[in-house]
Amino acid sequence: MNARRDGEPLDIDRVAEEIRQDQLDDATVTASADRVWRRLAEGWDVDPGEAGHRPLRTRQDYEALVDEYVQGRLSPGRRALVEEYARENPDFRKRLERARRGDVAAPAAPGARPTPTAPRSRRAPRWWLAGSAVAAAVLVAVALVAFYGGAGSGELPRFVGADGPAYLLTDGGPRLLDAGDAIPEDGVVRTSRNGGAFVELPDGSVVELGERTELGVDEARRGTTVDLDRGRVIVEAAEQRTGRLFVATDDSVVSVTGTVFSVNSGRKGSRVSVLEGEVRVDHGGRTDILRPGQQLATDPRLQPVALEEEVAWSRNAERHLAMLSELIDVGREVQDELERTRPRHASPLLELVPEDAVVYAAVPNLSGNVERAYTTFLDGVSSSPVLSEWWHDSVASEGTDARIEEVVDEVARLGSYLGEELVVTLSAPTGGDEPPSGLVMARATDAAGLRRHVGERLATLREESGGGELPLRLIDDPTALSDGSDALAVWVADDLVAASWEPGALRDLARRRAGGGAAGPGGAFRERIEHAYEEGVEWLMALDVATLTEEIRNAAAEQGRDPARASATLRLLGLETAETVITERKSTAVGTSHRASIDFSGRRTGLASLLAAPAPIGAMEMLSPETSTAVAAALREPTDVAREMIALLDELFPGFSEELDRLEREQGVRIVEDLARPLGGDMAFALDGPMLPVPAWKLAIEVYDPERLQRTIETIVGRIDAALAARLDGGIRVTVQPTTVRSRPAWTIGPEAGSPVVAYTFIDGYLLAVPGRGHLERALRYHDAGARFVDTERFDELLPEDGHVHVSALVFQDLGERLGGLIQAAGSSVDLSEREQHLIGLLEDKLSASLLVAYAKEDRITLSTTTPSDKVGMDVAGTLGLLGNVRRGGLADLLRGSAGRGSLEVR
Amino acid sequence: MPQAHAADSATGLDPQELEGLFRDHHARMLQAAWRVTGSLEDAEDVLQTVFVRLSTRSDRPDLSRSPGAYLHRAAVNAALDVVRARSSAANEHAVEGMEERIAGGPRDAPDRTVRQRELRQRLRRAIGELSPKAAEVFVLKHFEGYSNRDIARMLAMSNTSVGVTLHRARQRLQELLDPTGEGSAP
Repeated sequence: MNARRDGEPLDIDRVAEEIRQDQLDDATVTASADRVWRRLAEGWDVDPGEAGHRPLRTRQDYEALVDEYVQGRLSPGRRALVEEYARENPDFRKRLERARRGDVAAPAAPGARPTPTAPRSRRAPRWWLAGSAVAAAVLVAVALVAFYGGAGSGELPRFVGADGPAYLLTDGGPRLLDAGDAIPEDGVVRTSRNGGAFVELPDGSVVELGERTELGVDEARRGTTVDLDRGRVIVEAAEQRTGRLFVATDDSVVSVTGTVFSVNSGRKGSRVSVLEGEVRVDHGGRTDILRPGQQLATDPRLQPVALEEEVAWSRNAERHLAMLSELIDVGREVQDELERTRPRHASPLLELVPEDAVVYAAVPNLSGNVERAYTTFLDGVSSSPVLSEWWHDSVASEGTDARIEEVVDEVARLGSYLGEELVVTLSAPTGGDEPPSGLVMARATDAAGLRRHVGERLATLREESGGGELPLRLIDDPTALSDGSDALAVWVADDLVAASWEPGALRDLARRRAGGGAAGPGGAFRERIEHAYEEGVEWLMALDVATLTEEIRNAAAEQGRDPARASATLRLLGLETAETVITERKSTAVGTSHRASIDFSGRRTGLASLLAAPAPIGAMEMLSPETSTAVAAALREPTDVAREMIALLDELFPGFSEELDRLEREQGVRIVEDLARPLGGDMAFALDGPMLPVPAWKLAIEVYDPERLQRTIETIVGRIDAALAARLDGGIRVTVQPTTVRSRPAWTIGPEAGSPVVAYTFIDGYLLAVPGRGHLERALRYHDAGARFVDTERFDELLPEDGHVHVSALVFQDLGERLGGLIQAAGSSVDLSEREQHLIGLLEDKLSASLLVAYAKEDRITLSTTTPSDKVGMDVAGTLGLLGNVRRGGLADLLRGSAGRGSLEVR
Repeated sequence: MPQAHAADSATGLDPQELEGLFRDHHARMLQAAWRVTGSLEDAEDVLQTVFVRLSTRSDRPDLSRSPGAYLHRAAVNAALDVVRARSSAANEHAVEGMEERIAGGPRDAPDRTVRQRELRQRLRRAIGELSPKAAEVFVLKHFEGYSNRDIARMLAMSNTSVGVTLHRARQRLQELLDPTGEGSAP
């Protein structure tokens, strides 16, 4: 990375590395310490003669403390230093162990000086004074066991050989490695360009290093850790007798007990691929279990690569690949499952959908995933002591685990007889209180097997229920099905399985399948579904809104209400010309994309018409880089919108306009002329700045006529003031006060005596309003410095990759950032436990920023958002509640509710 | 030069504890402060400031887990305060002069060494313009050699947040050091 200002380019990495290498020599440090200590001692009124003169820098300094350490005479701080040094220096650790065993004659390390005659601190440690020699010995023994008792075998990893030169980097500088060389714990192995090397660990594991790779090996009680600083390795892990083998990169820890896998670590993140066995990857607060053929990247920007490619650099590539090919045979199920979640580009079931279907939902057959998820869940349970205990005490002891397993097996087994897709449809009720007709369909891949399986299950159930009627029946011929049964009928044909509570739905299906009757839904609804399949479907939900709105009008008419008013309500909501709603969820390279689009048969009306076509939203430029939540939109001409809304309300509530005219005259403010006309075409509302003590909200609205809007604001505030004065007998006066902020005319609104509630100014054609003068000062400072939210990376990186230059509206949230800010604001006054801090870290990490964007065309609104695969973000389908549970009667409830008392009130 | 305050007014650490901490950790703290400030005089001030602050704290900091890491971080932050406070040209001149003196004197220094020192000071100045958090993370990573994991633990951040902070800090430094983008690597 090069940067230049005045003079030559500045390579930040190189210069930082030079600074990192900067070391003051010992003499300078000692002299400096003397000076500082004297100044401090003077202030503290202590004798400067003793402290500051025994710094622990060299091996000799530590050697000098061994006897005092073993005898328990060191201060706690100094003891910790000795133990820390011993952890990092195996030779010194052994020296300590020898001394502890009483092997005092053991030669000290070369150059060690004789133990000094106790130049002890003037205050001897209290615990030592109070304790006995026995207690001290026990404490020391416990400390040593705790620190070193379980640590490794004492052997060091060995360098086996290399293609090109490989170096060992230690404090003493780099040196060329030869086959058989031991790698000390503080040493780092570095391979050269085009080179590669092998390192054998004491447990027999072999690590193959790719070119320009850097790693160190750390033996500790819990196992051996390969610290991969950069580059790539393939690890053939030996079966671990105790502990685990870990490979740690900057952003992940891979742990295994015996397997073959590769880790590739760079600036963008790490990619782990498994060739044999199973590995556990901890990264970014989550844990994943990988099995042969699977791969994981810690950063969505890291694209997956073929495993063949990932190990091609290895000298043992051929062997690895041969093994991989065998594993691919063994792991066919894994492959099958991956294929099942691929997008589907056609559906043979669409032809069989009822003509009058108003809801069409297509979901992938996830039965295999259920089984896999359960296995992964059990792995997670067994690797966590807390979960294991819970599972054992609360689930396994009750025998619930066996029942769960049975259900999972049953789902997996049933799923195995079915095709890759399940389709659920609902048809509008034909009238009255009749419920909508639901139908579930899937392709049968093994009809005979399915029939046999379901038959056996039903026989068992019937036996268990003592021969009573079951809620499910298996049928061979839907045309022979009689009405009046509440049981779910399941029909298994040669290549189709279908289920419904409505006998009529299955009879119609049988007719369609035999070639009689219309093939599937028609019109715009059918077109939209087919179009979605052309682009690839994973999860799809389509609503025929046109038919639904027609049903609402009919329901109103049936109930003796005015259909014209029903139409007016639909127009006000913008639903009158709405034809279809399609929501989709798809996997992309970087995460999960959610999209919803509403199509209209003509021009959008009412609330749906508020959004303008995609255009630059200048109000966004008023938001600072501190923005954590924002809603912004390009709007239609405000006067048009106001007039249309008034007209629609007038249609719904006769006399509305007259009442409004009277109010306008009374208050001296006209909605269209005084409020809407001065406004422009875009606005933004945001939380922009600190949340405490008052959330820093910010409103920016484009204004064409600031003078007129200012008069309107003053009139409205004057009216509020008069109303308050009348009601509170002059207790509170609310005023608009002119002021100046950063040399600009500004106004504050609030109680005459007290802090203003709002401060605003007109700037660059926008009204900018914030919760107080200080906030306005801050907002203008950002504005004047040109620091804008829209230029920040966190906003930029969320913009969807599509053909649109502008959007009609957007909703941005960065809850994680806000949470972090709140914690910081709470500061040191809040003592958080380590676990709380960890949980907050996880939340901060998981609640990633997200951006929902809307594109409005004359006859369509599309909402779209992408959530990174390991994050919690916005889900359009979930947000709209359109992919909820589809259950019997649900639509009827919806229609009844909307026709009678809900938000879509029609009279 | 900061003045030491009498410790007996504080209820935190007593002089003997401070003495032990100073004795055990001053070298690492001084080295860190020297790397961040580029000036021995400033590094000494930083060392003194950290201990004076410790002695005057009314509450007792939690040093039980790793006093070394706590003091190291305190030194880095105090040193960053110094870097941020340097604004006047005279001050900068004095700083560069100090580094030259430590390194052996400008007259003896070959051109390359002078250029290197100038580049280091430019980087330090730019770090002083980063947000406090970004500056701390950058220094811990690039000057003090901590891994992202260690920094995440020390600062109670997630690994990802550390990675993102570092990335943004580097971008900001690049902007500060090369606003025209001319020197950007291809």
